[in-house]
Amino acid sequence: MTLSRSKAALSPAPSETLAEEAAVLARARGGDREAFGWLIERHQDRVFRLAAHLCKGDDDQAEELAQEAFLRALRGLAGFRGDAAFSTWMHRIVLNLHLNRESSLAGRARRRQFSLGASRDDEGPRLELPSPARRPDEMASDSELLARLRAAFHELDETRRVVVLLRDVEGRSYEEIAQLLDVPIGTVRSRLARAREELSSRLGGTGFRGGGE
Amino acid sequence: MSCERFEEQVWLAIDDELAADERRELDAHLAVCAACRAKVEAARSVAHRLRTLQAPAAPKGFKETTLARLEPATVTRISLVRRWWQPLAAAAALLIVVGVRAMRDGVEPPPRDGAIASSPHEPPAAAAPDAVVEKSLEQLADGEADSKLAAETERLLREAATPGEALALLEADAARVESRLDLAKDARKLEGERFAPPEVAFLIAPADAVLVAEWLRARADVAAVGQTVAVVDVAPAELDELLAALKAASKPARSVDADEWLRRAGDASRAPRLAERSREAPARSDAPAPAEKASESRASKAADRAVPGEAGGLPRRVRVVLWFEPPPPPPPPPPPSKSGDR
Repeated sequence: MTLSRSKAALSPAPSETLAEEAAVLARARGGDREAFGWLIERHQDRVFRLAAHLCKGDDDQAEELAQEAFLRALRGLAGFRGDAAFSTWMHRIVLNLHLNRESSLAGRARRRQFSLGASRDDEGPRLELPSPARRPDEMASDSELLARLRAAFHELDETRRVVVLLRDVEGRSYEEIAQLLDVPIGTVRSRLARAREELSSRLGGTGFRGGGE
Repeated sequence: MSCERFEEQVWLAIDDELAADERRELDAHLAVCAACRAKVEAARSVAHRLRTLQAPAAPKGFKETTLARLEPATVTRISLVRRWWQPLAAAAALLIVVGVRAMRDGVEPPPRDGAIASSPHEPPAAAAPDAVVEKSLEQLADGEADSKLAAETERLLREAATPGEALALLEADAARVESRLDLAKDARKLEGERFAPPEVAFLIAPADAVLVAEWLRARADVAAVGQTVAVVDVAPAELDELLAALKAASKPARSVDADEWLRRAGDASRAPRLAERSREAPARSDAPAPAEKASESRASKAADRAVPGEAGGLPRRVRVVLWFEPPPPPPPPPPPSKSGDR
């Protein structure tokens, strides 16, 4: 397969199929720089958004994380077996990079450690949840609701935040999340339940009144 | 029936991921338990809101900077490319001119981050620079003196009282020049006349622009930044590394008549010699350009002040001018997705 040199041919389009991506991946495995560019361009927005959420909105950190993930992926394409989508593989790399970084930064003393590969008894102690300063129905505006939700989301423990991010923000299925995090689906369920309970408690015990569907 | 039994299910009920028998049991419980119904409602409400949390798309130039990092590093790598360097790092072409001379009265403060993207710079203060530029362009059109155009541009730079003024002058100048890279057409003139040692120019391949930009971002003070030009100053002590980095990164990026020029600029023995000369002879020894002769400008006064004696003859800063072609504009954004997380 030969990649066209034209700009249009290199622009990712919704109609691009996985088969085409597989062909580009084959070129990329051979070190084809143009193929690298194609893969980055196709996946950069989703990867960056995931990184931005993981980095709690710090765009510089997110850019570094996303770039590092692409570098690892493109340099390690030989290890990509193709039994999952490239996007899934990229997501896994981003998540692992982030969680490893968080783990080394935080240290065992400061942060409870959760292993991505651990079984469901890894949930750790419950947090003492602070009482909300104001009840949700007293909050003034939609933007304030969102700000509080974002803050509560960012305050979640890393493993809980990740599972909420993948399920509630990205809309992935439990099975996809289990594959991404390399944990049993039961672990996904329990983490998600606890994370949502914690979020709801942080937001006043009953979530957002009037903010549901 | 105890609520504890449904502790997990109530938070998962909104996902349709419960097994059929789990769902039936939960529904039966919810029919009689207001507290658990409230939990389900809360979970649904929170999940709905979470879908509206937005994160930005990848920044402009992300692909280029990532690809550049795949290359073996030829310059000191830093962890992040600051936002205002991204247009430079993504440049379609980059011409770097290193002019070794003492700077006048210290270094002007750098602009705030983001200045390059949004800088509405002041218009040129007077008509005089336009006349100078027009004259230079006539000379360029006549094929007489690419080097004179470069000299005039540099003179405008030195005359500028503020970074904003320098920026305006350069932008006005650049807008009239078909291609800045035309400066490279006459390598002999560039190098022999105007860019006589210790001055030199480098044409940087786009793929390497980011590495040079990273180096400069880490080490240089910004004098002026615009849409197509950046003017930065570096310490003389770091000139060796800069020249080595430029030499390593230089390669023909265009089909200009620059091969010979670049061969000379990239000559292995040249960079150390340039650095050495910069220390020994900070003041330019070549004859001043005609425009400088004719003008009792602030520039010439500044040059006078800048010569010898200052810190044992060492220039205080080395001025580096970077002209770059911006990358093509991004395609229009796609329509927002239904999820709201664009």
